[in-house]
Amino acid sequence: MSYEAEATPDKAPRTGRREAAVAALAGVAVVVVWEIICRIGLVSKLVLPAPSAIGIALWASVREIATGGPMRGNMLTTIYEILAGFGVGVALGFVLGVLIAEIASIRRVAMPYLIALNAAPKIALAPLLLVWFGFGMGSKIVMAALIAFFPLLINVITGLSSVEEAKLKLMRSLAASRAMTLVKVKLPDAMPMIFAGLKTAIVLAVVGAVVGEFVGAESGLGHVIKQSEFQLDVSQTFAVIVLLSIIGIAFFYAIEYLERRALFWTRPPR
Amino acid sequence: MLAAVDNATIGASQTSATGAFAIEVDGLAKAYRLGEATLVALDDVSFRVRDGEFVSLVGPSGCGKSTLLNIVAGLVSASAGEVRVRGSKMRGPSRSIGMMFQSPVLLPWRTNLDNVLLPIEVFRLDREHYMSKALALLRLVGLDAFAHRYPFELSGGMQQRVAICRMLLYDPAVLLMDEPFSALDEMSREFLNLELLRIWEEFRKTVMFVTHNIGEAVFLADRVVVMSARPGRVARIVPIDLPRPRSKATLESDAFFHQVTAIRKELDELRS
Repeated sequence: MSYEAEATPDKAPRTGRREAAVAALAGVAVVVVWEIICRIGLVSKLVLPAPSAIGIALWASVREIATGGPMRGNMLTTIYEILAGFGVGVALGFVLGVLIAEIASIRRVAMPYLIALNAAPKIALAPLLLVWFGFGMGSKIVMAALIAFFPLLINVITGLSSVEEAKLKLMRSLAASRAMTLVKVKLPDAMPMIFAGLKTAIVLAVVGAVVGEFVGAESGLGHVIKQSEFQLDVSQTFAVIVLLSIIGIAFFYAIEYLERRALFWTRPPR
Repeated sequence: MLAAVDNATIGASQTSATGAFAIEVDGLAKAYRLGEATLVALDDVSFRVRDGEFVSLVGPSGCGKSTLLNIVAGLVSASAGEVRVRGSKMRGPSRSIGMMFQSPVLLPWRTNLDNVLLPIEVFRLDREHYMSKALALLRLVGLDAFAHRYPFELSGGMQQRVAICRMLLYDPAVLLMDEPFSALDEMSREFLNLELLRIWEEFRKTVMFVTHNIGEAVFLADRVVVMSARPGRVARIVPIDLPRPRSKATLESDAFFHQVTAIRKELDELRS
């Protein structure tokens, strides 16, 4: 039972610190070896630029972002597409998930189509979305929304249908209406699943926005990657990939922070 | 002793008797279809529980005692026969019934106080009005200090005490308890038996208490309904004439021992 406080074995803090040190050291070692391979000319810089070159390109990008250069506009475009796509996809996924989990007739009608749509490679729709929604942000937002939608939908349905039977029996014994049971028991109970879906959805929204930009865009970080590839500026490509990763990680941890605040009962304080 | 409890008691009229019997079970049967076969869980079960009476149900596992309780609660429909609670036929869950289950079933995202208040929210009654009563009930079971804490901060026995408060909050006339202390260790169970009796002496609700523990059944009840299995039938109804109020001393008395032994023999005979 999730609410039964269980003694979590205290990991020895010393072990944790040692592991962190090993991880950091491994990362540094990889970067150093990578740098050496590039410096002695084992790999062309058109294939794999040195970490130092990527660092310089990244620094230039960050400065441009800070001073209001074109990179800032590109980054804001992509962030906007990610957030808008995430918002739309997640909102639709939540509403449809609740309807499907709660109303059997909707479930029977909608499920076959949703399973088929989920199985279809949605990335392959990107060229079509470009035709439908244009070169602007619209097509990217739709792409991001489309792939952020499914993980949330599925997790909402799973969360709502796996509520502990005893809790439902309690509500039945109080003659609670379905809406009351949904609001007071099922939705809170499904929150861990819903948050897990949100974390998957935000990462996929980043993928959706960038893929949308690859297919055709006037601005955005995906657009910058394509441009830098045309100019054989591979360091710049890597720098933008790092920026995109930072954006993805930041959004992911923002949701995780909200999760910790909202779902205090899943991690009993000791 | 508990002015706040008494003042806030809205459904006080509920507890006053309208008839001699709080629960009437009449020719109750329940059959489940298992593919081709039919499983008869309950067969022609009839008995009556007087207003304010404490009745325990014991029987071997599979005798349908939990099914019977769920039918009385209106959670499960009967195949035949009927249940009347305070004279009116049960057609579904009712506010005149309070339930307790094998597990406390507290909602982990709610404080203990909010868990006690859950029925009031479900009934769309005024939360503020019941606040003092909820707190008084928590004080009654010795958990007022934990009102604003969460269930995961409590032991299993303390959680069941919160569940007792939740069951009593809206003043149901009939309490249905389905092996509520069976998941607890022996010491906690004994303590909660005493607590339950202390609370029952105060409110004098009608109680149907399902258990597989013969000692618990005898210690708590005015009468013990002994059931047989497959199909579930009432084998015997044993009056328990132990004096009240009962205490730990009751558990050590010869009379208690004899009653327990008599019912154990009864159950052994049913099995053979």
